[in-house]
Amino acid sequence: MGTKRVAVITGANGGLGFAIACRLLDTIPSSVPLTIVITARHLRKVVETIGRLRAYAKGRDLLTFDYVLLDLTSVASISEVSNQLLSRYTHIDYLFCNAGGGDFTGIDWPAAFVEVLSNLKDAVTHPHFKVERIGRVSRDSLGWVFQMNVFANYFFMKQISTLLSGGGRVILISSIESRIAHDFDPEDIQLLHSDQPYVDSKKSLELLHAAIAKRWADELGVLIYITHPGICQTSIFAEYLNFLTTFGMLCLFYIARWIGSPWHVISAYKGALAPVWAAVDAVPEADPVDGVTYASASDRLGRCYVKRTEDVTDEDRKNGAILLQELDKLALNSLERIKLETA
Amino acid sequence: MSRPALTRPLRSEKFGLERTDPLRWRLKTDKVGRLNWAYIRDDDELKRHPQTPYEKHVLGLETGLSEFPKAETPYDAALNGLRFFKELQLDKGLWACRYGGPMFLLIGVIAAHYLTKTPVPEEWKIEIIRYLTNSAHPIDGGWGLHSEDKSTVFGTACNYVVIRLLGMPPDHPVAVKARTTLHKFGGAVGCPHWGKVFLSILNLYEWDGVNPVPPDLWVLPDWVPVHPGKWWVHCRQVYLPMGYLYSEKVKAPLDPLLESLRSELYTTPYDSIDFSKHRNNVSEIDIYYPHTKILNFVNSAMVICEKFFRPDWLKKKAKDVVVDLIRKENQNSDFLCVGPINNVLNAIVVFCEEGPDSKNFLRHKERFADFMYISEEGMLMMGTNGVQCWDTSFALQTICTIGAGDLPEFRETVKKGLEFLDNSQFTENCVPGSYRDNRLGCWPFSTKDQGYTVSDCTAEALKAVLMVQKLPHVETLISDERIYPAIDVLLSLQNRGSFSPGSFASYEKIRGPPLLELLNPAEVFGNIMVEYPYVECSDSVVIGLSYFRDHSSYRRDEVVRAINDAVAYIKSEQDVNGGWYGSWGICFTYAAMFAIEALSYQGEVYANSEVVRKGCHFLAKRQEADGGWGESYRSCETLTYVPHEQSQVVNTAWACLALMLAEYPDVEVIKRGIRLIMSRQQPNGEWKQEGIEGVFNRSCMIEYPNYKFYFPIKALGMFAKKYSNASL
Repeated sequence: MGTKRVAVITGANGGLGFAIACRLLDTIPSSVPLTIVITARHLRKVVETIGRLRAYAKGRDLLTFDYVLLDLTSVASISEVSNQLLSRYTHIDYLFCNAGGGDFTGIDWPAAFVEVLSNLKDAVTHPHFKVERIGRVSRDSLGWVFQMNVFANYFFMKQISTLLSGGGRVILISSIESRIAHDFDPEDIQLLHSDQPYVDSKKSLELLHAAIAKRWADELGVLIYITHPGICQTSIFAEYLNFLTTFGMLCLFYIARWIGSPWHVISAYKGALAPVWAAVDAVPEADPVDGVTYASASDRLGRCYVKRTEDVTDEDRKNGAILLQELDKLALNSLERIKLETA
Repeated sequence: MSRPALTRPLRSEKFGLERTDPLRWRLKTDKVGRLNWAYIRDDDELKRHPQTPYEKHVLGLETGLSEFPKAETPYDAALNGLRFFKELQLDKGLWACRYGGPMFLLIGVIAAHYLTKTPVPEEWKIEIIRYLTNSAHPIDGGWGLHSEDKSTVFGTACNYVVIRLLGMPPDHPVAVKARTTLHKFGGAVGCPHWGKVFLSILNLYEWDGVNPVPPDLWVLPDWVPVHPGKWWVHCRQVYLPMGYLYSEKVKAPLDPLLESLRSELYTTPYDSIDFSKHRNNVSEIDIYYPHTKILNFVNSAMVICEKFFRPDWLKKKAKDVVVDLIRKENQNSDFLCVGPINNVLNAIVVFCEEGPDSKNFLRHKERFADFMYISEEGMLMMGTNGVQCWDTSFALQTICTIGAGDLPEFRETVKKGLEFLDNSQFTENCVPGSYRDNRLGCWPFSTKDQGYTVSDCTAEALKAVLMVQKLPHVETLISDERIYPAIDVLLSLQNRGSFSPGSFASYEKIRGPPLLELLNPAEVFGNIMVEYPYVECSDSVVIGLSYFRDHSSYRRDEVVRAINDAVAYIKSEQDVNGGWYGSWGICFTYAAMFAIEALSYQGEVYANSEVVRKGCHFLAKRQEADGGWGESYRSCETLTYVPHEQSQVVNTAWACLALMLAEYPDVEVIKRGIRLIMSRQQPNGEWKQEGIEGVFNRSCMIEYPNYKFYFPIKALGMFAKKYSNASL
């Protein structure tokens, strides 16, 4: 019997989060006591998710579930959830920062047609036709998308860093789409003026990683891996598609895979490969945290593997440092505000 | 965001809130265990009635009870615990307790006072505001469904209204914080159904924004599957008066305070809100059991029917039927009703039907106080009018189990306890046509007046009576002839046929199909529409009947068959990993204790029963490093074992009792648990309050403060008797 392991998965009710949980159950031997902490915004989703995971785990004996209700767009919520975790656990082995999202308004159909016809592979890998709303502000008066996808993850990690230190791993989830992000703009760190804040926030997450991965590994013993799931069919964009367009999208995904796109893993379970591999199987000496992105990829037959890319530039590191400085400042402000509010 | 434990100093003190003099509170009771807290203004009366240790204990005052040298052996520890606990017994023989937890009750009693223009006593106002201040979420200032819950729209909207109606100004920091949180949630339009009903009664919401509660269903022939007579008793008794209020659109006259509240509860001006569009608007934070599509369809259909196709004669007929049933419920329960929600709703109906000075309404007014309980943190409203019989039964069983019943120092305790159970047994059935089963000879959960038996309450009281009356010095008060009718009822309550045969449900036999759950409109509770089979209820009945089987040959064959069938059901409910889900206590440790006790009475123990072995392994694997067990209320919500932040004395006692009853071979495991229980005992023999102990409807937690006394005492005493009383 191994020692007890604790995994926290944010947004475990969603497609990729749920797949990560399933994959974790398949990867960690059943002789190891495992606790999976679900985070979701609402209890109903927690109950549903745990029910589905129990069914998936088929009576696995040494498996415990727990939950915290977490709203990434509220620093107060993150702070409280962190305190709950600190009071319940002595260590956390894996933190999957999976939850996130964008403020999409729909699809620019004419642009989509043009793109798909002119370059199918790119069009379904990092499309330009998903329309995002500009300038949404959170209740904490931060850029909403920036807060959810970048700042929240950093703030959460920081708040529970004592639980992670000495071997804990953080798995950040980026996206292939970050390749079409705008250049980092130090004047618009919160992405309030960006016309694609979701895409840009994923780039920012990578910059953040470039800025902290080495330091956290050296100073805290926390390994932060950045991964992306490739392209899979998840709920993040589902509300803008109907039965027919979903089917169309799936067809295009398969075509893209057949003509050689390594990123079209398509199923969420396959997309969860890189994140779970990084958490459980990656060996720090061979699989460094700094400067490498680990992605779920697939060959033409749908056989999955972890694909590395090493394309962090000096420019990225410089920008990462600027971003980090801003995040630290925001974290400090947030803590002060929470302290004031609870006084 | 669940909430951190209560901290000292209390928040009410930090805000400098007014408080009453704790030395002036007295708990009045009668021979059937009515609990009324009275605030004594007269100094002479105060002197005549010095505060009892129980009153001091509940109010957080020094009890002045003696301290003991530290117990070395489990038996000494058990006796010290019992010495403390016996001092909490009331002079009528019962143990009282605060039965708090649910945070959606106060709105009911305050709305009933407000609408009927019944003044709320000053001391209540002060203490309710204190309680709500102290139980507000420390960060966002809101309230949830129960005292450990995250803030929800339901809890926050309802309790905000309460503090405002009781006189807290809108600019008080407590009110401001709660209101800000409510607005952050989108305002009171996102209230679940019951919240919308209460707000509508207070004229703070519009009835056309409330999903239908058609009283007309009561007019259907009894055999129709959706007839409310087939619903779970709590559900049908709540929707009965709610149907009247909905159909008659009862609401308090608007006044300046309500006008002001209308502007405080919503994020947009009241008059600009189209309430009919918010029927199905329920905050995601609140939902535990979402509407089914069928329910939404039925609701929409009913709204249309009500507008266009509901003849006046039907409305009138439905009203007559409902009022008649409400009168019967009041009569059967002496105006206490099955729970605090239908209690206050029935009071409003009686007020509307019979007027403010009617005898019936006056009786209702007297009964409001039976639900109000004072505590260190202020005044709360209880989930029933108490836990009198349930607690007293377990207290007596504990004393007998550990062999303390013969000790001179506990003889009087046992005698008085038995007298209370003697006084509490039902002596008559309900009036005909109440949709109620026989109750003659049974025992209640709370009091005889309240009039409801639960299968397990009768069984556990029965066991207590039989145990106590076997003691040599105890005079038999309850003859076998008086016990036979209880056996008759228990046998009649067993489910047969298609609904979980062999099992026992709570108040009644299962009458309707579980498919009715598809119409569950409450949004915040699961499993409320019909009776369900419960492992613990079935366990208790098996335990009670097993005791009876060894005591008398009355209806022997049927008793044995009932036991066998129930045991088969209990076994079938075990999870693959060996656990049983507990529906009334938190959670798997609770159910394991009951299930294994029931099996142990059939001679099934670790050595010879695979089911018991699996049950033991389930527990043993979940023992914490400190030797204890601790289970979070999140177990109940998620249907899986979720550990608590710390080991809990109560869970540890349950787990140890289960393992001892199972004759679990690794005594060291049990010993470590016993050691933890001893280490938490205070010098005066008590254990301090830890996490909340009980639950109902999966999502609402409720306090059983006496569990931390009698279960640890029982575990310690049983260990000493079964294994060794050597120093640990």
